[in-house]
Amino acid sequence: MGELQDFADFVRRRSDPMLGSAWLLTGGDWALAEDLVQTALSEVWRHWDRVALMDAPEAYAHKAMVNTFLRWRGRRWSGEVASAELPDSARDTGGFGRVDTRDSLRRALRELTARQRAVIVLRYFEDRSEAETAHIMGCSVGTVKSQAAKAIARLRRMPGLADIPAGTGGAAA
Amino acid sequence: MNSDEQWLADLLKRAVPQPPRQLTHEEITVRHRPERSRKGWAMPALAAAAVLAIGVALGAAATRHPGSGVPNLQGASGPAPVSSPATPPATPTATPTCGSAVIDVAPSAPGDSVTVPDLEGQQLTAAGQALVQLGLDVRITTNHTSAVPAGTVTQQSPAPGMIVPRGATVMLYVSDGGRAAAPTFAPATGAVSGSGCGTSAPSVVPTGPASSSTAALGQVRVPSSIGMSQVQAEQSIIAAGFRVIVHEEEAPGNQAVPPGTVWKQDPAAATTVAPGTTITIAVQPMP
Repeated sequence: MGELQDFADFVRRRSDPMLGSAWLLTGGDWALAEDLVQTALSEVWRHWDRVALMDAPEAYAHKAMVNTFLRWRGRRWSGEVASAELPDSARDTGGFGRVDTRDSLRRALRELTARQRAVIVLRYFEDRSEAETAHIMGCSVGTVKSQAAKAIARLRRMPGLADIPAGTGGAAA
Repeated sequence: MNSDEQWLADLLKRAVPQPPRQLTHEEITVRHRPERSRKGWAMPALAAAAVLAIGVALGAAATRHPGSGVPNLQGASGPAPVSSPATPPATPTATPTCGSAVIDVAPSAPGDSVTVPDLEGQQLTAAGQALVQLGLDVRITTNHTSAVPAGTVTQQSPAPGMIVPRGATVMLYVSDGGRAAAPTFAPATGAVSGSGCGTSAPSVVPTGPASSSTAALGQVRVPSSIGMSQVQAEQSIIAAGFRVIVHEEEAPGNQAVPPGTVWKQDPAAATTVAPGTTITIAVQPMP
């Protein structure tokens, strides 16, 4: 059953990167992130005979993930409600910078709309071009630009994030 | 990229933690809905696995609930197994008991409810397929144990015999066969307090010349998760940059631990370990 073996390899290889993106998309919730990646990968498995022949099967998988996320946004998670669930313990970190950064980021992500989150994950976490991002999200390059600009402006105003300079801070470990 | 974009790119890459575990293909392929299947081998295999699973479940459920009769394992309609064992599509009449809780589900629309089969001890693939065949959704969590072979269902939620709406999610806990090289539990020592909710902040401990020479640059202190809810503990452990394995285990009888609460962890709080170390927590099972 070489087909299943190939898929197993693919899952093993893509699990970590997809979970990382899914963590950001879901506002830092591992349970939802795993659910999202599992759902996206089952979509990949459904079309595996075709996907396996693609030049970039992982791009297809990420597209499936973002589409699933955008389709589910109203039903499974919405940006604004969840921030109250964050445990206080994660905030009281006694100066462990990375945890502070991570916690601030989770709060900030939950303030963004689902589309804004998707744009920044594709553009700045996965380093995809504007054209690629537009293709994955099924929108225009102009929309990608404007959503990214709005998201950045919003994040720049977030307390706890705005004062983190690029390339420093937080990297305690 | 302008400076704001660069700032965000740096921030995102730095802040995303290492995922707590790696996904496996089994947990994806068993979610594969039979009606959408285009694989030639899938349908016969699914039907066979489901019938087998249901047969086993029937036997197990009958012995487990001698007083409540054999639970109805099938809804009256929907994607039920094609060649079912000779079970009439009766509406559930008995209210099955499950532990001490009495499930009060009015089976007004029998086509919309199904009885959860007993899947413990089965292989994940067969168990997942049986659930999908019954119209139930499956979620899988890895359970770190070497007591049973990898891929075996060790626990399930809801419990066997429960009547749930079609489309409900059944959680399967699946053994990893002890594969994740996490430390095994030492017997619990000392009293476990139920109030130790405050996470001690992980702090970077400089490795002095006296400590292990194999230690890398910095080691971190393990936070305490004793007394937290499972979700709380998972979040704080992950937020502190560790990996976590959850393990359901009953606390010894002399310890009153509320269900769903962490009562044991390994390595212990305040131990210094390498960042990203896996912390195993024991959660008191639901009754």
